[in-house]
Amino acid sequence: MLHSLISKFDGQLDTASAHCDIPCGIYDARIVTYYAVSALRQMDILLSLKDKGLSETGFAMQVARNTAKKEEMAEKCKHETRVIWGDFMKPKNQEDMAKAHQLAHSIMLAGSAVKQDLHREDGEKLVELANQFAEMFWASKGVKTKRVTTPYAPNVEVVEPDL
Amino acid sequence: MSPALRDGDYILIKKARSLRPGFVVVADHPRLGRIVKRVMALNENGITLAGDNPSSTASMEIGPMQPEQLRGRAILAITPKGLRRL
Repeated sequence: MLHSLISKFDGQLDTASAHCDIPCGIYDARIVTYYAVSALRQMDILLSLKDKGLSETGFAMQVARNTAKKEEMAEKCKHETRVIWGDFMKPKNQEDMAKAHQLAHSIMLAGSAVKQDLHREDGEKLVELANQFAEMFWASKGVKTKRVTTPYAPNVEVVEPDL
Repeated sequence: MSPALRDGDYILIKKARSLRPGFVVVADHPRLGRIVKRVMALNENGITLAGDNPSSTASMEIGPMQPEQLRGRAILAITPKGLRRL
């Protein structure tokens, strides 16, 4: 009650920032999609290594490198989702709130699945969830979106703002 | 400063005559602007501040603050759920 009363005088009060990161106001959901696509690309590379005719050592090295990169990309996808979800998203109502939480949580689970194993469908799922997250993000800014196919491997559909 | 403070909370501050680690303070930082953080340590270099949240701006990045840069100590949080002493 006191909080809502004070909020009526909000413009006359000083603001102190306790923001987790240095506040810059720059949020862009494309980075979530970028890392999801990168993780999927690493999965494709890993799945194709057997056909490359590599030596045993070369194969082991490539698997190690691409696995590390796959996990890094999936973790970054999760991290950027958490930043936008936690610092930027302020859903307007209970329904939006539930949807945002559900979607962010689904990305956490899908990102972990991509890290843990090598099932391409997990990577595809992560990209699709990142796309849905991007659509929600841009909708909150009143920006229309479109789905385009990346002009590079893995040539998947990604959500882009129609700026 | 989550979970102690959340975005949109109001805080009541008073002049801090003395400081102790654990106090929540409002300070004017030359680069970060007006910030609310918790006192972690006091020594000859100044006052070390940090946020409660693990993702907070690092204390090293904030740098040591001087007493004259402090606006006051937060004593009460006024949140949508009610009042809470800090």
